[in-house]
Amino acid sequence: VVIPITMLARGGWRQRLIGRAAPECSGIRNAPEHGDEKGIPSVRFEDRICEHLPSLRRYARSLCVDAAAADDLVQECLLRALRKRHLWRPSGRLRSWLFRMLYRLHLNERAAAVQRREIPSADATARGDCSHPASQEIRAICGDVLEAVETLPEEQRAALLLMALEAPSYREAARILGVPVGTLRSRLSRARETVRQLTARPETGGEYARLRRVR
Amino acid sequence: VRTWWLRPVTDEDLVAFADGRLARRDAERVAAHLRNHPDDADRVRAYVEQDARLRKLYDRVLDEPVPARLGRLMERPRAGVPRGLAAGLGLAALSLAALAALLGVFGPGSDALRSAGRSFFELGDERPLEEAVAPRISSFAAAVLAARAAEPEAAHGTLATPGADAKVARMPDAAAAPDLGSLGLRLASVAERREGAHSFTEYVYRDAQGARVALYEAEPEAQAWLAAREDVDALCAVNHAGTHLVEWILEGRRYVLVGDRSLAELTRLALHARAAHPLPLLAGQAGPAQAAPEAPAREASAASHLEPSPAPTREPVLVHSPAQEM
Repeated sequence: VVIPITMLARGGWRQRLIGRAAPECSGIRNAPEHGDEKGIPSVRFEDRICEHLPSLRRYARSLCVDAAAADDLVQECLLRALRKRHLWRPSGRLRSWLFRMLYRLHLNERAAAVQRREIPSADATARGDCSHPASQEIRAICGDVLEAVETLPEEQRAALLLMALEAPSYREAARILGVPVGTLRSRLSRARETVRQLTARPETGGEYARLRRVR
Repeated sequence: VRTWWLRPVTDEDLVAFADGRLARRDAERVAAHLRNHPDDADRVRAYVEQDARLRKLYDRVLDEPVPARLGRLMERPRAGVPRGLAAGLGLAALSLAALAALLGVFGPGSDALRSAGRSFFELGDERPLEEAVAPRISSFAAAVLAARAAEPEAAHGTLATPGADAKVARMPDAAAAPDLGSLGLRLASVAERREGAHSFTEYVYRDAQGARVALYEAEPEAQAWLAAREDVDALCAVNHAGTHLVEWILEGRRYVLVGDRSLAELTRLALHARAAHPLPLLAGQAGPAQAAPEAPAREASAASHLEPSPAPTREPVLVHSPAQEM
């Protein structure tokens, strides 16, 4: 009993346990509560998360069918982040960590919904619902892009929306989506080209315009 | 040979060009390609427009108020036990449970054993930290905290104020204070404090902004306190009821460092103080061979000691012999 406590006081167990951090949180290590080793006043973990909260909600809104589901997803992501806060360190890439967590939760939820046969049809997710916040005017102008994005496979859609909305580096985006950079670039290329063809005006050769993917 | 210039431009290159993610020379190669291929240039333009339209659609989310349930989630204090601490204490609990099972106090599968094992998994819950793990501090640290609580914060600084004319309460002890000038802290006051039956020396330091850090040193006659515990020379950083303190034992003497700083910063100061401390070389304790080089420092005046000293010029004096301590 005494040995673990003594080692704990000296940081031995702490270091050993930190070394076994979850793979998805690699790069995020334990941190002092109110500052770092250099004495630089640090921001609270919750405050750092709050900085990314609007972006998280935006990306979740683009992934999910409706706004409530998107906020549920963000809430689940925040709960998981708080549970794993001991793996965070100030120098870690918090945005990558949060977005990766959000995306994986989304995939998990989607897989569970498939099992429950709750995946909505393409038409149900088409732009006419209340999932995205744009005004009627903007939707009238940009709705075709949304329709085209909805027809994309899930992996391509996630990659395209991530790059369009958050503009991370390819390396960071690949880390978030859990794929190699080459795979990310390939998905992006296919997604962009599909959307371009679907949104092209007929007079400009958009022979695929107004087609929807049949699931 | 500029072979890179001859590489064909792929669809992925066009997308990366639209994203602005190409290296400079690759971007130049693609730009040259686009000048000769207007169809590809239109594709790149379409990709850029896609991004702009998607952002226009979703950027309004950024201006929406955050739902209250998410806001509450971030405001709720979550004083969970750090994983290392929880696992360490969990291991201790498991050790106890295993020992008890071996001794036959508890039979296999009994409720007591199960509860001891369960605690290993339940330490990471949302109970306040004070309830989950009561920070253990020494009786000396408790006396220090009690003395600090009894005396208003303002009174701590009245013993001496930083400046050329400051008067230090007890000069003989000022020379024994560790020099923390290299960390931006200078000695502001030295005082003898007493709490109950315990007396100790208080060294107060202040930084350029006036923030206060206090170092407490147990009196030699109080070393009997130390007999019981003695996890030795390890630094012990504790958040005790919101007060951050670091305590350690050096050469049989207990020290406590308290300040309104993070535990990491206090630990860094403590490490420096421990290395820079001239050690308890009271009159008559040091041998003549060791006392000689220390003499100039002992004769320094109070004013000179309180002058800002940007860097420590004194080497740590690690002079001690167990025989002398007796």
